[in-house]
Amino acid sequence: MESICIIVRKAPYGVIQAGEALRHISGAVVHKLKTTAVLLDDGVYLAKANQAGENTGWPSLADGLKELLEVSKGNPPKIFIHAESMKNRGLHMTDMIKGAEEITDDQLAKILSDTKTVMIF
Amino acid sequence: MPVLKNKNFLRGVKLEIGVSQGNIEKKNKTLTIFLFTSPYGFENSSTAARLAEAALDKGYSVNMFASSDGVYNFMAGQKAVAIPNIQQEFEKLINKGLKVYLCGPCLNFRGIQRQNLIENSKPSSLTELFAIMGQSNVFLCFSF
Repeated sequence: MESICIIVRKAPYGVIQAGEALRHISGAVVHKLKTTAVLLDDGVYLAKANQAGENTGWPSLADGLKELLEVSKGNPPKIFIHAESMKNRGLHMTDMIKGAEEITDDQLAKILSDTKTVMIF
Repeated sequence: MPVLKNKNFLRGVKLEIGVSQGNIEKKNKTLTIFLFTSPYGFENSSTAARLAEAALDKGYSVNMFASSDGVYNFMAGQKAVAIPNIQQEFEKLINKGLKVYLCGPCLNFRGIQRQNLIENSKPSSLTELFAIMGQSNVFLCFSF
């Protein structure tokens, strides 16, 4: 199985990157790739729970991510949140959607070295 | 062994093998560039084009997959002067063998139709993107 790591570095709503990243994560899962998403820098906000962006006309991206984890039982993506980025922004795992996991710099380095293709958003 | 005494024959054989092996090695390498930004607002398009040209010149297969605002790079009728005109850059590279794929939904979202696109750039899909990725030796992302 081909592997892909999608790194998200931008927060949702201000720019399109996080939304596009979510679209590519979903696509990779549907196409049966071994999919890992890493939320880094402002990208950690993608997994922030209780987003209420509906009034903007844009869907809640965290809900999209949560739904993806729920529906892709056979080939679920791994969703990792970079611990240092989260800490720098005053966030904790309790602020995040369930199903995501915290990773350190060293774990991130290993994921990158073990993955065939990396996409950065 | 009259054949081995014929130096010209041997030289020809060696050359043929050398070229053949070189071609096989180069043809096996594929570079895919994922271009996410529009032209002129960012330098990504020019950098991606220069990298693509260098790889094509070395005999690599090169794919360019444009997504999101990156699809604007492949619109026909661009009038940029005094700076690199990205339409002309990509048309030159397409003639050199660059394969161009454009995210279909991104084109639809932006109301861009086929007749607005430069020749030999075609709407594509995530299915094709992941297939191209699987065939690529190197995959580079140009975003912001």
